[in-house]
Amino acid sequence: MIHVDNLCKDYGRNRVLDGVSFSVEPGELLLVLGGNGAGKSTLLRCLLGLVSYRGAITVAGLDPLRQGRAARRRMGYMPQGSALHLDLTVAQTLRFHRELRRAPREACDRLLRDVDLEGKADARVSDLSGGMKQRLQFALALLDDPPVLLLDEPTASLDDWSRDFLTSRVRRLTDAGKSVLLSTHARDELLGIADRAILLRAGVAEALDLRHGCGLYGPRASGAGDADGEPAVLR
Amino acid sequence: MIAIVRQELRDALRNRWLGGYAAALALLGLVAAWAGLRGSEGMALQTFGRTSATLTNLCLFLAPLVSLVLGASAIAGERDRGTLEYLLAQPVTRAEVVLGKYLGLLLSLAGATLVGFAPAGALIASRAGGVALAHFLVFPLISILLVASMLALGLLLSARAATAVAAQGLAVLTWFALVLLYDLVLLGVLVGAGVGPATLAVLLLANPVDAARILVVLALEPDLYLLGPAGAWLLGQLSAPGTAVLLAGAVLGWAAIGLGTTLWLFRSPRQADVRSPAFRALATTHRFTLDSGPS
Repeated sequence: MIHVDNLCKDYGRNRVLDGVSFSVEPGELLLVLGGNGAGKSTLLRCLLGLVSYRGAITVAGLDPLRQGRAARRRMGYMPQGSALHLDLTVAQTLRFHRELRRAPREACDRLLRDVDLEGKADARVSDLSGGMKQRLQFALALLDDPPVLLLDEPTASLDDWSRDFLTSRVRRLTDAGKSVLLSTHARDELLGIADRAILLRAGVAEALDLRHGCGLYGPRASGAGDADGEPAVLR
Repeated sequence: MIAIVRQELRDALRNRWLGGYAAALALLGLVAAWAGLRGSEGMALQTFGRTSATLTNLCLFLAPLVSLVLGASAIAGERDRGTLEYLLAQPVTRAEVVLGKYLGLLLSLAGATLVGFAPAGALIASRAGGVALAHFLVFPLISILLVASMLALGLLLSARAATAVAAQGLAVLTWFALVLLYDLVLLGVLVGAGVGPATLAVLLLANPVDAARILVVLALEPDLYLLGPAGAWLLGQLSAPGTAVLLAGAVLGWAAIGLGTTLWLFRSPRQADVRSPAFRALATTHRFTLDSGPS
């Protein structure tokens, strides 16, 4: 469903992605791991055709740069942090995105129930908590039931309940056949549900074998300890 | 694109600039119409008197200012709030974003213009009759022509400016240059270089505000003295209908140039469009450019 071949992205003289290649099949969850500034968000922007790049990307057989609108119609995107209009209500936000994505009207009510925001339809987005905004953006990504989901740090700064909620929903979506690419700082609960993972470091992607940990928690396993709980390989 | 137009129209209902614009037009228009009706005993607007001069200035000062500022805020504001990237990540093209915002704002501003002029129009219609109302309709119509061109120029500033504040600052500077400075410079050129009426006409057509000003005079009373040397020369060359078409075309030509250039500049992915507000703050603090920093 997603095929990336030798993807390179430079910002001026700074190479952020250097020959990244991977694929995501239907029903598969790929984790993209990496520290701050590793290029995770840039990778997602390339997939969406929001920035220019070198190399080849196809999403559902479409080139995001040349066939951007058609490709994005097949992708649901959840950005890192809130990118919502704060002065709109939840219902107005859903209506705008439903019109943009030409999604059926019934989808809004169903998704509001699904992300547990049913009673917040008339609340202003500015009055929602961070977790509620994240759940709203998750609902927006699913409005027209796209086959591909791109989730950028979806569990960052979420409380335990929201994180568990999102993790279970993501797994359910991959079980239903969706291709999910999720960037994260390698939280344990996400590693547990992923099919595969790649680690971005200095712009280069390394495939990780989740079955054996692949050294993700090397120092901890060897008894060196890891006070902040972050995988050693990401530091 | 329709979704973006609808969203702009919904946003317009909450926009203080638009509300203030309509209220200012209503208040000043009513005062001008009332004063004109009192002074001319029902003959308001049939001659180019005080009422017409006041209403012309309302058109030429207020409409360009509000259009330029709203246009300048359209894309740059979304970029500042970090919502532009999210919008571009939806199944829309970049051209649809520009055209959707332009059409939505144009309809909102046209609506606000008509609402703003409506009280004065109602007063004139009730006190001076249909002929006076027909004359009065020149003002909202030419205001909407100006809105179309100034909005496109504002959008052009918005597409390239680094921040919304910078875009709005440039919009006010552009308004000052077109509405006030241009005529002063032109006067200096006229006196200093002694240009002929043909050159002067070209210079006036190059400024949409001046073209609109001559169009108002032409529509109300094509008096050669009021039209000035350039207007009189155009009238002599093209007759009244031809001159009106040329002047309206000059105003709308700027809309086409502004919108076309905006579409061209905004056509390809630009790094600055997907920067988060936090990154912008960081870039400002550390003085590195928005096109070279890390993601």
